[in-house]
Amino acid sequence: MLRALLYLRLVSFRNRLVAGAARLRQPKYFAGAVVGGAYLYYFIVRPMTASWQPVSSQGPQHFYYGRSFYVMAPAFAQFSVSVGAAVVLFILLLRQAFFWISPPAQPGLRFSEAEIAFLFPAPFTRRRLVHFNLVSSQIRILISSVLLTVLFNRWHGGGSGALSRAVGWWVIFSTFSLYSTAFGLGLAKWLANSVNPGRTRLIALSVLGAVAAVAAVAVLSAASRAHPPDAEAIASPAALAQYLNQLVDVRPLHWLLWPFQWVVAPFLAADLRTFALALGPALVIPAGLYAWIVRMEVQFEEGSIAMSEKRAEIRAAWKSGRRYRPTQAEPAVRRDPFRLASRGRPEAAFFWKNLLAIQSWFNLRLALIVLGAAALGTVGDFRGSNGSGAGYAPMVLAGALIVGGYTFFLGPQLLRQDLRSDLPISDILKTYPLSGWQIVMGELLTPVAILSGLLWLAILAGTWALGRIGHETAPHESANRLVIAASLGLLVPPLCALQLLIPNAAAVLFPGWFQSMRTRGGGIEMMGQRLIFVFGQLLAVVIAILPAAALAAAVFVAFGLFWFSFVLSIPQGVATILALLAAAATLLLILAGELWCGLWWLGRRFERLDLSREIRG
Amino acid sequence: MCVVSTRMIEVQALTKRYGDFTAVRELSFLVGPGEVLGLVGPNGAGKTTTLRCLAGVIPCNGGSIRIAGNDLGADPVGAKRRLAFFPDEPRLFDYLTVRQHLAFVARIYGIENHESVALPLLEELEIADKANKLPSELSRGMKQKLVIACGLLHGPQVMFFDEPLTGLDPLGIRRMKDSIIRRARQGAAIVLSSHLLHLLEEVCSHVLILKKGEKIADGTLAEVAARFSAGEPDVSLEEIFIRATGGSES
Repeated sequence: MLRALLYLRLVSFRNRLVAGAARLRQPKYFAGAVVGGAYLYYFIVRPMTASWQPVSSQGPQHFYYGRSFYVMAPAFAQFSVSVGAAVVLFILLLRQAFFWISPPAQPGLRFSEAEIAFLFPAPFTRRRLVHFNLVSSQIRILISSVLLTVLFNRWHGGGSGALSRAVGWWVIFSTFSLYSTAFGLGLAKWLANSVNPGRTRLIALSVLGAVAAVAAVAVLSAASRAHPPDAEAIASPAALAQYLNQLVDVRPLHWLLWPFQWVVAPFLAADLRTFALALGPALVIPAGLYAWIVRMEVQFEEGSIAMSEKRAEIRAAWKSGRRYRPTQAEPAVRRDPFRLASRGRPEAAFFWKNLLAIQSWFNLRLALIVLGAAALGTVGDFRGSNGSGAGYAPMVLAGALIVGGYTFFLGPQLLRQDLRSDLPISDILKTYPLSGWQIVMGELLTPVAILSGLLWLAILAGTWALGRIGHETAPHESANRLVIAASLGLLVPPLCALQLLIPNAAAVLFPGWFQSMRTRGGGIEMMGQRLIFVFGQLLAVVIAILPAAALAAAVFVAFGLFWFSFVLSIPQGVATILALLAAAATLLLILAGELWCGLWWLGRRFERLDLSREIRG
Repeated sequence: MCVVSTRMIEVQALTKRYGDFTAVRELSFLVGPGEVLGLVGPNGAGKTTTLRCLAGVIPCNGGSIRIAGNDLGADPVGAKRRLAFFPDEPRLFDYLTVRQHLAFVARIYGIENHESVALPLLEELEIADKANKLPSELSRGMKQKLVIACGLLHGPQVMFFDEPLTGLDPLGIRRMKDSIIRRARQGAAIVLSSHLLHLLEEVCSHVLILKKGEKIADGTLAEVAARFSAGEPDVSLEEIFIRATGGSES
């Protein structure tokens, strides 16, 4: 059976590589692979190879790369085994508490749906299925350990550090994985056989609480005696490590940590000899857990199927762009955001539909957060300003800039209630008697409205804050500020729409990638494509804005400085306001034109989209 | 302007390629009002691709398609106003109730007073009591019914069904068959694909056999039977299908 497992994993891995390589024949994936590869080289491989060189031979230009990877690993070694064990104990206590508070309804092992379909009816004993499952999980853990080692470890010094670190990660993760499996299976069995499961859980949680209390008292007692490092020293790993070592190297915590020290000892080994000596005891625990699971004889089939179905539901929810909701949870019917008349622009139907989809976001919790923040800001401003100063205005301005910046640049990536969420049902959308641009425009309306709303709030807050900070004396200064704010407000919707066009275009141009991102693992080409899209989005906005902004600036100068002031002899303050309005109108017109071109082009692409072809590819 | 035609569906030399692979090759056929054309063929024969091309879901690489006189290539919006496509899987919006689905579709097609059409439809399909339920609360059969209600709301003259009986219980199958026959009697032109040959025998007036994207035979059931029966009486459609396709997958 293990040969079958090996065959399954190797062939799947090979096929994935072959499919990935075949896909590179398409330019879009090839470009992604090139960009992803370049990113990996510059940010992972190059720093790593720089740290292979002896530190003394590195020039200043290599110092950063050498340092970042060279210093990090010895920093781990400065922490005592007890600190590592304390971290493991803390995680296990949390895990245990979670197990007892919310125990699994039935014992189950993690199998894929295909594995269940093929292996469960196959002529295998239950014990062999357990072996299959455990060995299968070990393969995943091994790959994760190697990846973590590559990312976080030193590779210098002949490779012994890399080996010890990789094996160290593997021992820790294996122990956690086997422990979770063993305890999950055992707990379900115990509770099923228990006369009074509630009392059993209460006793177990009390014991856990007692252990946590003993550990906390020991640490707090040590903390009262130890001298914490000062603000400068705490930045040094050595000082921090020394302090933490003092906190956990105390009795009775030391005894409590004893078995966990075995687990982390290989990872924290300073040299190859220490590592070799630590490895034997460390393997005893996962080996014991493995033997325990195999001999447990638990009926895990039903639980495994339930787990597999749950994962399938989560995947399906992710694929369709909605949040996962357990089957047992009753979904809430949402009220119409507004009355949708039968006649009128069909784009409004998409707006209405997508508003319905995100209605659950606008709940009482959000309202309380917004009201709380507003109340805090008002009270703070009132107390801080005392009638004369700026109060919280600088903070409000900073907040407005941060919220506005994040909303503008990250909002379009995060708010996906548009064509991207409806891509799996594009077949249905395409049967509607609408042009492609109408569908695209309708789909964009909801995120544009939400992002615009947030940005308007940010502009409003920023304008108010600037007024408090600026000490404006002349009336036209305030008027200028308000006109600029109003002009920005006018420009927000087309700018948001342009921003949203890029990720939506990405979904239409690369639906295969878009679908696979939701269903399967990534790859270098996927990572590269994401990078391309993020930079593409920024570039597209810059390209859209720059010519328009240049023309608007020219209009401002021509009207403000020349036409209104010199030709029409309008007072300077009024001329500036009029010129600002003329510039804003110019910008708005150009952006609207660009947006229309973008919608038309994306609509045409959507009309030609053949999802089945992309997914085949 | 819509040209009134006695042929509701006119397909001429329809070709669909995926790279080097030709999924549908030079396919031509006509379907008149009241006719039900059964599209049959082995797996991978190109049935779903053909239906998706006919419904304007995917563009074809060659040929022409006219729906109720409207050229799907030149006037896709006009053609789509007259058709309805029912995919094999009921794909619905997770967060729209049955009623909200119908309101959404009504706005898309601009159907005035859609409630007066929607309610009888829901009652006919026996899901009127589920009007305020979300898709997650509906069984697969009910979801299928909702898809049908949405498709029929604008009174299409042309309908495309892809495996319409998938996932339905015996009663649902019976009702679906009745519904298809009734729509045809009311003058609709219907194309449906199915592996269930007994369905085609009961429902279809015409049949078109596809293999590897090419038409093997088409005509009325009697015509196709005559062609492949080799003079034997009462040859079943199943037997005709096996003889026509060579009994193998494409």
